Amino acid sequence: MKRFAPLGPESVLSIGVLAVFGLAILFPSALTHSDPTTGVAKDHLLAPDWAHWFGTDQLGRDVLTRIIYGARETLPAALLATLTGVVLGAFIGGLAALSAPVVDGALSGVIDVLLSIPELLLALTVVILTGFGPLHAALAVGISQTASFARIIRNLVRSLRAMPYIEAARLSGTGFGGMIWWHILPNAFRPVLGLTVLRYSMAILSLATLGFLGYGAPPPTPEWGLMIAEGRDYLATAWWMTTFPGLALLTVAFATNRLSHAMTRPREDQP
Amino acid sequence: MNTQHPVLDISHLGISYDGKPAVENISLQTFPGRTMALIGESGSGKSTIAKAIIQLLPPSARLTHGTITLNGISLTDATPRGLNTIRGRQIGFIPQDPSSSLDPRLPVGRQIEEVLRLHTSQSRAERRGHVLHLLEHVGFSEPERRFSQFPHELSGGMKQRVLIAIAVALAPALLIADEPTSALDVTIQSQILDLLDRLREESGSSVLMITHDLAVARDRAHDMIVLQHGRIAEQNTTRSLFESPRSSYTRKLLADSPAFHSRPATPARFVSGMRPAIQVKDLTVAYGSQTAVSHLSFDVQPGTTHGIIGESGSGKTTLLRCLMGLISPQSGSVHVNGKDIFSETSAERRQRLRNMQLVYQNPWSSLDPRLTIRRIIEEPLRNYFPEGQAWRQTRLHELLERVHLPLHLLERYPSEISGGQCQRVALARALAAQPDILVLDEFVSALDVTVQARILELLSELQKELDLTFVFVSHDLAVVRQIADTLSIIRYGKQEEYGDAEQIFRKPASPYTQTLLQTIPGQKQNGNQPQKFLGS
Repeated sequence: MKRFAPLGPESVLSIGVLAVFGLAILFPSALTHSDPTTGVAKDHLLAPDWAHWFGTDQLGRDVLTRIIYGARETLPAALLATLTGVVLGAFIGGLAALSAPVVDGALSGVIDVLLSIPELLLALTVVILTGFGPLHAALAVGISQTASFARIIRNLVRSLRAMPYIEAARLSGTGFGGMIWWHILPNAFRPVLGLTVLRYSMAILSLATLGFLGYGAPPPTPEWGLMIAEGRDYLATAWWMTTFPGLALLTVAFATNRLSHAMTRPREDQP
Repeated sequence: MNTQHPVLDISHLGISYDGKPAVENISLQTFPGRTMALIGESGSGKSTIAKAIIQLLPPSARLTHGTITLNGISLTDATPRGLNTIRGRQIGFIPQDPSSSLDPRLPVGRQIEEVLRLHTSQSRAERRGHVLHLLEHVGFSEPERRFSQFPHELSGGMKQRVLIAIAVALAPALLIADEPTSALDVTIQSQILDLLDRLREESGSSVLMITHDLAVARDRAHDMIVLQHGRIAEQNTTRSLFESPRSSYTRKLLADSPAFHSRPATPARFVSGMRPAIQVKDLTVAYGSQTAVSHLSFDVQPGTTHGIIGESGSGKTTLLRCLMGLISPQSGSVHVNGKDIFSETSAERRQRLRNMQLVYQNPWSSLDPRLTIRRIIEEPLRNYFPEGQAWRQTRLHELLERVHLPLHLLERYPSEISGGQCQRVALARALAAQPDILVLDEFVSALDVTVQARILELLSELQKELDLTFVFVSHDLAVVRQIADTLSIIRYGKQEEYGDAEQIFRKPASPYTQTLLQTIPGQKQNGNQPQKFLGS
């Protein structure tokens, strides 16, 4: 079976990076022995050295430890956000593509309106309406991504529906449900999976932004966006407080992004 | 055999893709005023040779040995800058697909002018005059108007004329025509080939024509090279190649080409008094104000094949979709086994669709790329028959045997098998529903001639054994002639002719059919037969 192309070095590296962060989510204590929320007051604002690789913050907490525990805050929330987006988007987009032109037109109109609002603004609006907190922030980001998922999935399903093999299946007696289950879902799965991974990296950034603005988890939670916001006050004297959480954020987002590109790259053996 | 200097001289050419040899030990020479045809099926390496001549091989290709010289200049050693002065100036290239070879955002006149701008020092006004002259030369009646038209305003044949104008603009010594008419209708095809012949005679260029179509080559080429798996199977003059082919592969190609032999007369299979399997009466289909099919009528007797011939835009696809009940007509009726298909209940419709299977043109796009061959053929079995897994397995093996496919293909995906095998899978899927009627839409058009011949044999065999009724839609008269008992010829949605196939081929009544039959390539007697033009 040749359904999946062999992994390139880029994909292997991306998966490796994500595996390290996965470990941080599951077993943070295996990677560090310090506590993420209580610090040692006399050790505050220490520059990176052998004892504290990424330095310490204003309360004497180890920045590396906070980044490790922070993975648990940001990454699952981003996953929840993206899943919300893809599920809602697939439902709306699929419904539009498979319904009568009137329904399609109405739903597409709604999608267009939502697409015209910048995603961050939409997420902010939702989180302000529903209340602050990590769960609300995640759902808000998910809702803000729904429109773009819906638009792409609608077009994908419509183009699949026009394929001769779909008509051939209908003519060999396959019903509407069978068409979706046997033909549209398997053929849509790969492109949508690639898109989801791509949007996951964007969700991480959006969530960090909401955290930075203070709409996510409250202090002292080691959330990456919040850490950057806190470090901003010490930017002139303690660069490590903003730089390392920022780098962590960039690394995950970039790894996911490259993985998505590798997944959606057209394969040569398919005509 | 020729005392002149060769224009193009290829010697011992070898090219490999990623280490795998694509062409090996090719040597050929072309001479001024003569046409050399390079013949081969897909994968024979004919396009690779063409790309090697213009030195535009993809990066994965490597020239392993040999030389290519044009009028004494080595092309394999030329610098990129040197090649730019040769391409367009000394080598004209006519591409295969006219619709994708012109820039959609530039008027066609500008696109012809580009060659002149790059290779001559003519002033703007001189160039314009030259382009207008060229447009007239390739057969446009209103060059002024054509100059400023965009590609989408022109038909396929006209676009090919524009591309020819670009290729011949500077009277190059060598013209390479890569399948120049494969994308065109048969009547347009002969006009374009006539134009090429005329231009070659006037300018004395040497033409290298790359084609899969033996019939076209026979009509137009002086010399031929038959390629098989990247090697020369036979090199000969056209006359001796056809009169006494030396290689077994050439003999096989000749035997499989529908153009060179019509089917031995079959006993008339009409059984009068029987109820026709399909009865179309006065059918008219329109999209908005545009009539796609108007007042068409024909009967198909059970166990026979009805051929529908039409060029692109003739309405044959619309007719076929209407026949399947996928679109409704404005007026008229279609009866299948005596039942009107536009007033049936949904249960009757399901039953009819089982009994009447549509088989598609494109071998790959009609099979779901994410399903194995097993799943694809099983689909109608699951849908129409309540029997269990064991029964399905037996049926599956029976069906594969019917279409002569090996069992080990069952677990493959469509992208892993050949075009001919895909069409066999499509047939097996259609037969799985146990239909009486098969509607075949350009079923063999995308296949190589030897594969085509095997599929057509399979169709006749299936018809005989399973007593099937076929409706066979195609643009290719030679193919339809091999298989059809009765025939409809349609043009612009109107039925030009309808009746017994042999009768129509022998004594065509309508002028359009006469033109069609005359333009079938492969019937010129060594290029000396005077051509009559009838109709349009």
